[in-house]
Amino acid sequence: MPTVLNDNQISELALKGSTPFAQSDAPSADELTDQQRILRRTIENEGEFLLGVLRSRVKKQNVASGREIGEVALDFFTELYIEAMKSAHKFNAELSPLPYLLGIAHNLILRKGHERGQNAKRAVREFFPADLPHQNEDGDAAQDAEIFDRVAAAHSEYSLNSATTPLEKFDAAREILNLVSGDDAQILELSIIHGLDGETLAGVLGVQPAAARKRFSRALQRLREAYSQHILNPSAPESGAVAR
Amino acid sequence: MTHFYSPEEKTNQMAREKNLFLYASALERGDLETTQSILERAQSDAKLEAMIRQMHELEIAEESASERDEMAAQVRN
Repeated sequence: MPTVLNDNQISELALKGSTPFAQSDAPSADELTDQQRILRRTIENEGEFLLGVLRSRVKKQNVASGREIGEVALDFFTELYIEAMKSAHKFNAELSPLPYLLGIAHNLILRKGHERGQNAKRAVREFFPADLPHQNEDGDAAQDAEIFDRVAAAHSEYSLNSATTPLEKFDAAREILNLVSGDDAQILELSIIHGLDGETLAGVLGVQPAAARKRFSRALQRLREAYSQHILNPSAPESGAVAR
Repeated sequence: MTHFYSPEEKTNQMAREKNLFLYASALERGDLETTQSILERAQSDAKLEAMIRQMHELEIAEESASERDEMAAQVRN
């Protein structure tokens, strides 16, 4: 039966050193290299943030569910520390350590969590044979980059002529906005006008930059799916392009 | 609030926005190669690092709110 930990307890464990830093086989501060020292200090200072990232990724990747999420995240936090110490020689001490640690965290979740996730997915499929495929299953980074560049190109075209011509007159913008509807079209329209800048978009929408960027990212994902369905593969069934 | 960038800053900022989008999409897809590549860039780009951090902080806050809602629903039932 796993121990149930709430957010505060986990944060306290991480910050007070009840997990990785208290291990008997952990090297003492004198034995650490400069890179290990930097990484260890960053894990101590950013423990709450890193544990939060691990928790949310554990949940999103279906590595664990319910009350087990906290415990599994804590296991990964311990592994993060061990892996950081082991691979510290690869870390360039001139650069920022937090992205390096995030890289280890994602690596652990995606690689080690894969097996657990597959088991969970298999269990789900047994109950729900018609389980839908993941929405991004067929996507890749090149398609993500292409759709971003299309919106960026629409912005470039618009920004050169915006004084004389309204947005809806530009073919590139019309093609993009016709593929999506409602809130997504509004976000993409604002992004084309304002240059895909999250800070400015946040100001226009009256939300935090991270929230604005998330809305934009989701709208782009749905645009990519619609683009793939209607432009790259127009004969596919389930055509649902939006007329505006 | 509109931010005014020089052409070079605008290009850099758009590259960051693109990298953030690629990062978020790669994470959802489980694409480790793209994720690691963008985190490597963030190691030497403080603004990109801050944007990635903000993205994760929002995700953490949303997860916490969702868990609170689930617990409240369990208590009500």
